[in-house]
Amino acid sequence: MLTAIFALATAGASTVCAKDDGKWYSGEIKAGATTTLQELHSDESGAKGGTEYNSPVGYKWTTYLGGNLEAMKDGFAFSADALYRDVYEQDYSGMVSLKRVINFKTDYSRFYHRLDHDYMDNLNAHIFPPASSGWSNWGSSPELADIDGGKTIGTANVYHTDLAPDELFGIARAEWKNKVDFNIPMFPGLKLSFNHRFEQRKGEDQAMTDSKCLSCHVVSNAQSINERTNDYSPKASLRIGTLAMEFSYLHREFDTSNEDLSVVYNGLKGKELFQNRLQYDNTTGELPFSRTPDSTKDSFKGKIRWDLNAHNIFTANYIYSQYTNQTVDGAYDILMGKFGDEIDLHSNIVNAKFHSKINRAFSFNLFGRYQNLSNDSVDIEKNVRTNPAGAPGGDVTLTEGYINNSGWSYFEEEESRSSGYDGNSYIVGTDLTWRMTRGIKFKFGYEFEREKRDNYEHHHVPKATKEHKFSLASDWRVNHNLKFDFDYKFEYVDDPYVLKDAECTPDGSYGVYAGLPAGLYDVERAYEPAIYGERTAARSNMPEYVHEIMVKSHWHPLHSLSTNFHVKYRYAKNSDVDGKDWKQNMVMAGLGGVLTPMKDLVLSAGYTYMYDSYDSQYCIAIYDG
Amino acid sequence: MDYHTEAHTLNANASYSILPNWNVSTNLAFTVGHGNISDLSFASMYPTGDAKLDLDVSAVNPDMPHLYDVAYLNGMDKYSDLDYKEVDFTIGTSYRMNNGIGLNLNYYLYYFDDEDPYVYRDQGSTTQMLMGYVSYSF
Repeated sequence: MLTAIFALATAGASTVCAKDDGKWYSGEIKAGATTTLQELHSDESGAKGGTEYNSPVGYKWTTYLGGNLEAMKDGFAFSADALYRDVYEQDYSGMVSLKRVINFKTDYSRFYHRLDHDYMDNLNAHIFPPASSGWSNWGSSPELADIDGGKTIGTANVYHTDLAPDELFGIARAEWKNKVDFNIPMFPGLKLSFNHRFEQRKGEDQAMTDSKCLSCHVVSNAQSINERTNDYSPKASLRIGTLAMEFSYLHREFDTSNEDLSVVYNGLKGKELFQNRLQYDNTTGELPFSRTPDSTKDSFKGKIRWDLNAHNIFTANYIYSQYTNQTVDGAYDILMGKFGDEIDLHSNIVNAKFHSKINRAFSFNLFGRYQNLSNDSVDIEKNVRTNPAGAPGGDVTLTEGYINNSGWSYFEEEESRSSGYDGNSYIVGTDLTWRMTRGIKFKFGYEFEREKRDNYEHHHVPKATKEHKFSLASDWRVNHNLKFDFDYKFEYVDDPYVLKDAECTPDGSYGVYAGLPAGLYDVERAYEPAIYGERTAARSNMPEYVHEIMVKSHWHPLHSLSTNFHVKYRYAKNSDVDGKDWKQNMVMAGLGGVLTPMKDLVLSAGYTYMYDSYDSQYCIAIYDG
Repeated sequence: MDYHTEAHTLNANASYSILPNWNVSTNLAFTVGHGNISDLSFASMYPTGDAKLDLDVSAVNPDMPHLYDVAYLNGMDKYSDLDYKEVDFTIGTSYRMNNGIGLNLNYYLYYFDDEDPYVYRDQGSTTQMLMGYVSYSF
């Protein structure tokens, strides 16, 4: 039976309604075509605007085939909708209901998204080709040996290689959702459901990697993408008197069969000096990049709603989630993002809310939320290499080199990186609504949130952040034709999220050339302390204070004319940083109107303005070595 | 360093039923967007005393005589400049006959002007489409 329902419903659907003319069915068939009068050129493939998600614009001719069918008889209801324009643009939906005991819905859609091609021109921002090189475009990136070839200029500069310079990128996204409900006649109030969602991303995208120390040589290539997500979710709902409960479970599988890309890293000119400073170079052969691990998610959710009486309602829910990275075997685990072990992420969330309507004038809400996150640490074992015999400083590893010269162990051959998300947070709050008159209503709100981070020392961030949020909202209905809404919010954050030791010195005085190193293993010229150690200023792009005000109006001066106006201003500032304060100024405003001068004519127009501005501070370190 | 974005959007729609079974409608959306980084500058600072880093390259580029100088980063904020204009215009008509047959014709214009191309180069384009279909209701 279910198979039959499924086969019928996959043709498409919308809502089911009774027919006025007594027919038990109705429908429509559409057939036509679309022609592109001015085609998209290949160099416009990454264009924005109306073409970005428009698949037919890429063809001279495409079909337009669609239709819908609705039927209802003897407790049986069916509806279907379908539209086919080309292989990338399709929509289907359907619904079947059997005496409302079994309800089945399905929905499938597919569209194409044209993606950008990053030609990396910006990486030429601070390099220039030597006149003697004869290279017209530095970005064409010859091999390191060619670059060096007797010349010194540019050997430590940024350059890039685009291995697919003419490739057009785009992803077709398809989503198929199915839902079936069983209302058990023998148990009124009991409903069993099952949801399934399938999502696929298929196409070609640009993948990037570095192939030198840090990011001096950026390499990109085309990568075939095929990612699939399957969600399976059974759910049970039960209502007994004034108590309603719902329990659901979600199992998600994310699988990829993306193209396996590899790259050969740059070779080392001074192997005798630098072999122990890089984990990999061209002698290792091809190395993988842009790999995405398969993963799973399991989540359990329980909800209750208890109507204590007509004026008091209590609701609560609990959610447990676990994410797991799969497939952890093989060589070069670090490069493939596997880190030698499966990574589990665990989360617990509890929400609760109590609503009470005291009388016609007053009502209030009390609410709270608790969440904790616990993630596995990532254990990293680095590829330790030894300089060849006869190298300056001897045939040593980097750690041995520093120990031999200064007794200081700089290089961490193994380390564990803890998650910056580990920790817990809770929110408590209340709001009170006061209906002063029939036309005037106020709402006062206060919310307190505290977020505590377990690994704050590791990540150089505050141990805890406390947020106080105050809000005042009012509705003023002057008369039937005019209405205003006013909202004001204020937020104060104590120890806002900042990155300590983020950049230069608090007064911005970092700008001194440190001079030449005393030797190959000069501790004072190592990245730590020469760069990390000099970064002592705290910076952030999160606010310490926020003011937000909004005004909205609706005015109907004539029966045939309605207008609306809104304006919102936000000012945010963070003085809890070193150097220049972080600030945000944002304005959004708009007005619109609808005019119906006669029965058969409708005119509408609107204007929207948006302005967003940030003040911040940057400090850029230059390091060679 | 300052960063700001700004956008103006204007839209207008009209729908007119010439006859009870014949409708004409049109829609115009026009957007102008700007964005840029400003007030980003670095004082000159370059390595000295090193045969490689302190190389005199004035013969190659007189405007940039040092191999490295932090001041060479000045002007890179121009890469952040955004200047877009976008027009989406649609006009269409639908006519429904008494026997359940309908005729529909729509014209679409998509115009996107990228005045300051960045890493993705010129993302501007102009396309026009014409769509027509016959429908039958039962």
